Amino acid sequence: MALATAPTGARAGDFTADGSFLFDPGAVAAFDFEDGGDPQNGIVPKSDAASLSGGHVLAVPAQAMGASLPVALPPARATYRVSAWIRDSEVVVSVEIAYGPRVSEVAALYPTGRVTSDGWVEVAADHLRVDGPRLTSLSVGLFSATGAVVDAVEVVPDGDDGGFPVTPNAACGGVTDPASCAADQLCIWSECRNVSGWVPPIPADRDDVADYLAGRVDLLFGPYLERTVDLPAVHTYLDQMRFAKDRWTYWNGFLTAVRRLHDGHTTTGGLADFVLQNPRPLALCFLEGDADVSHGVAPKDAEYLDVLVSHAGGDHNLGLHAGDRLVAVDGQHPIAWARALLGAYWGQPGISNHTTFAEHASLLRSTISRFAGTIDVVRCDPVKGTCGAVETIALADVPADTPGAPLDEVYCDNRPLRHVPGAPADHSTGDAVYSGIVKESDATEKIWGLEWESLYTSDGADGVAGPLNAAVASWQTGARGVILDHRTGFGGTILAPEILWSFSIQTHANDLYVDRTFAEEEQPSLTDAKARFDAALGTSSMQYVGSGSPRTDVPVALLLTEDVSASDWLPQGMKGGQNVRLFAPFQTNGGFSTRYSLGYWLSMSYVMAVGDDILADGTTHNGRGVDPDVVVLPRQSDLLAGKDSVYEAALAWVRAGLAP
Amino acid sequence: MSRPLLLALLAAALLGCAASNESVSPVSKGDAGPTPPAPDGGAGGSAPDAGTVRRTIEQRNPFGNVAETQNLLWDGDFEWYSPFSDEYGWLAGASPETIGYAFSDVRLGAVCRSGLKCAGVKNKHVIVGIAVASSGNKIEASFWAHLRKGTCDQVTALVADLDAGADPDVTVAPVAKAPDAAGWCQYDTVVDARVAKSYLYIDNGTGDYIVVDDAVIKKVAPKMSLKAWHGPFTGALAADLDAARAAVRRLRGPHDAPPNAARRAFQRGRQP
Repeated sequence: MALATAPTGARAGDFTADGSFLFDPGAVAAFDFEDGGDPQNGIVPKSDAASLSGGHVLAVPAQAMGASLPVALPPARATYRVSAWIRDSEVVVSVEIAYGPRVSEVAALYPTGRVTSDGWVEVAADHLRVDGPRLTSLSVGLFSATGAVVDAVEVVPDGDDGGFPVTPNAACGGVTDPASCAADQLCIWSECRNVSGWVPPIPADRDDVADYLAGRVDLLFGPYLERTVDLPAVHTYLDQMRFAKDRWTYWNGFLTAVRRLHDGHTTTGGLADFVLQNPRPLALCFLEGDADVSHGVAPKDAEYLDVLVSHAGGDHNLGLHAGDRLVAVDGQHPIAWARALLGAYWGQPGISNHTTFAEHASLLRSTISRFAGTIDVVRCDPVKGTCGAVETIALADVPADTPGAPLDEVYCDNRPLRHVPGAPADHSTGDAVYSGIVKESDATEKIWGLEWESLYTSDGADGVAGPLNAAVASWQTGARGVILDHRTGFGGTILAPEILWSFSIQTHANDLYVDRTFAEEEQPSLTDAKARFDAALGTSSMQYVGSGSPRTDVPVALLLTEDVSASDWLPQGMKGGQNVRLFAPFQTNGGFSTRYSLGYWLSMSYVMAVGDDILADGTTHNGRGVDPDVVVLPRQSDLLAGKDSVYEAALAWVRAGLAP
Repeated sequence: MSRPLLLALLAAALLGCAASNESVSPVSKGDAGPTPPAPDGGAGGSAPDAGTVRRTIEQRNPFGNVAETQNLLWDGDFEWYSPFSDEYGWLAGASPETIGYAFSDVRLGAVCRSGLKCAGVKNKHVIVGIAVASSGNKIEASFWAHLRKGTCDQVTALVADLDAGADPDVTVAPVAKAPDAAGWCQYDTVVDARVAKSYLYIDNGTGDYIVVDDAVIKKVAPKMSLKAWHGPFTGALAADLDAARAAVRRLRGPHDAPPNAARRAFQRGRQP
């Protein structure tokens, strides 16, 4: 039912007794789309008899570039309420504030709860800080996934600079420096940026909303191990909602709680991830390994593996190259630092496994640039095979790019080198599948390779199914050995691994995926879970893998590092194959679930795992990755010599057992 | 395009009205029915005659029915639906056979019963809410549907076991046969404890478009009397449920699709 819950903040535009809309008389900018269009900025008014103001509305077409409304503001420090009325469907409405050549800050407009009987819905953001004297541009951006109309956009002053930090956007030394920024700011790209505008106001019925969202976690989150191990800590962040005095603390409490569930399918996201542009992009990729050449200058950490440069682009690389070492970020081990971003980084990757961190390592390129103050590196000489002393680089000292500056971008995929002909040198594999005789082999030796990351096919025919089936067909007739390089795997559906299992695995009952059944459900006993597994034997619920006549004469090496979901199931099904070996530095992610994805007005979203997986012995598998058969750490000495340690180990094993 | 303050002041002066700080003006009753949705998804409407009320304004809870904090449905009020989502807490199909993740018909605004979002369901189409059960406890399932034609019992609703097939499928019955004055039907049933995951199956047989909103499945006290009715169903309904079960079973397991078209479009628009 309709419930009056007036949000805090100015009311701005209002209605006459007959329902006619009136702009707020204090508005400093208002758009009613009566004065003609501006197609360059996506502003295409259309006549609409049910317009809120005047006789026209702004049409926001489906999945197009959207519109951008430029707003001129007085050159003073003040706060503003920005509002718009939308109709027909959801619209992303953002306020994009620039103090230089690119967007410096962003705010999202969320619904206030005001609606009209003819379909209009108000969205707004209030108390947005604008440092007028420094402002270079401010615009209201609009995007619709399904097509919508917008009317009556207005900008109304709603406060002075009393709540501003002394320096509105101070320089800062990294997000982990608690003294750098105000409580409602984050240090991003070495500058304190306001984040209150990322979230809605605290709801009037704040306790109900907090209890409702806590209920999503308590009642619906599926993985058993994480429920046992992580849920107590999660409640700390849910409680943060209950005691929050500001909107950022309130909403960030919920989103941090979701991330703290520590699960590969369980993530959060927000508008800022898309809108804010990186002024200092890095074309550098990192992975975990063994810094065997440089332990003399920087000892190995007791808890975490060393972090090495895997590969780099031709520019924006800080002068680092493959084999150099990242020793610390803001004085901490890089992985410890990345994990500590939990409360600040909505895009922090989820990992089910409590002992592996590949997702953090491959994302360091982005997180360092975004959140770090300094990094400590060791540069090494690839010719001499020696390394220098630890050197500290301040990210703020790295020159910012001009917008549109060229960037030799590389993608981070845990593959120092590509081995299949045609695989892109910039590592941008995406949804493609690269197959062929590996570069190190030939038409006589016939070692085939596969480099790919997606396992998505909706029906066993679309997506990657065609290329995977074609690859398997090639191996059936011509392969004496196969190397499956899935060192980055984004998952998909179980139909794709089934294609690969059929080549090398003898049919067997593998696992039983179980959606969460009861709100009160917790870790089952081994006996109970095993009984559930056994009861599913012979039914369509049981996951059978393999085929009746696998090619056990052909050695198959599966290379792994970073994975989730179907990319976890792939090695799980391969494990134990008669002529199959898994090569990896550590266990897989252990993300044995699926997930549901929910979003609040396209600007604040969460994804949560819904189930778990039971093996034949009654153990549950989410959070427990697949063990490699052969543990291989990428070595610094190999990277410096242009070698790919994990691949080399797999190639040697395959060569030792080639099919006739 | 930016219209300065002066214009807004002038407009207010010409209309002889000062902008009000009142929250609603005029306010419609919270339980009033929605403006029926236009067939094309637009709100429709026409220019008002002089002296007529052009529109009414009301205040909704932008987070929907959060008073039901223990709702066992993932998103019973549809407020957290996102066009960027490829796997949401509701499924949809043009028929029981085609139930899948392509749930996308979400309505916005006053057309909804609670909050700001609700589901549109075309004639003969099906939606399925995903929930969990409560171990050893009775559960109550309820929702509202706004009808354009027909009677409330032409919407078939069940708490169904679309996975294991271990529980009976139980009808969620309308509270009254006829919609209320605003066109809304309420459905509410208490069912016995379940042993399998619960789904709320809603099939529109009214002959026209309906809107569904404010769905709740919750644990209730043991003393609550059962109002459930189940089976034997008609052959057609039994066949539909079998088809729905087969469709839902096909969705088991991981489903990590690449970003959908809407998300890709948004990302494209955001590239520097």
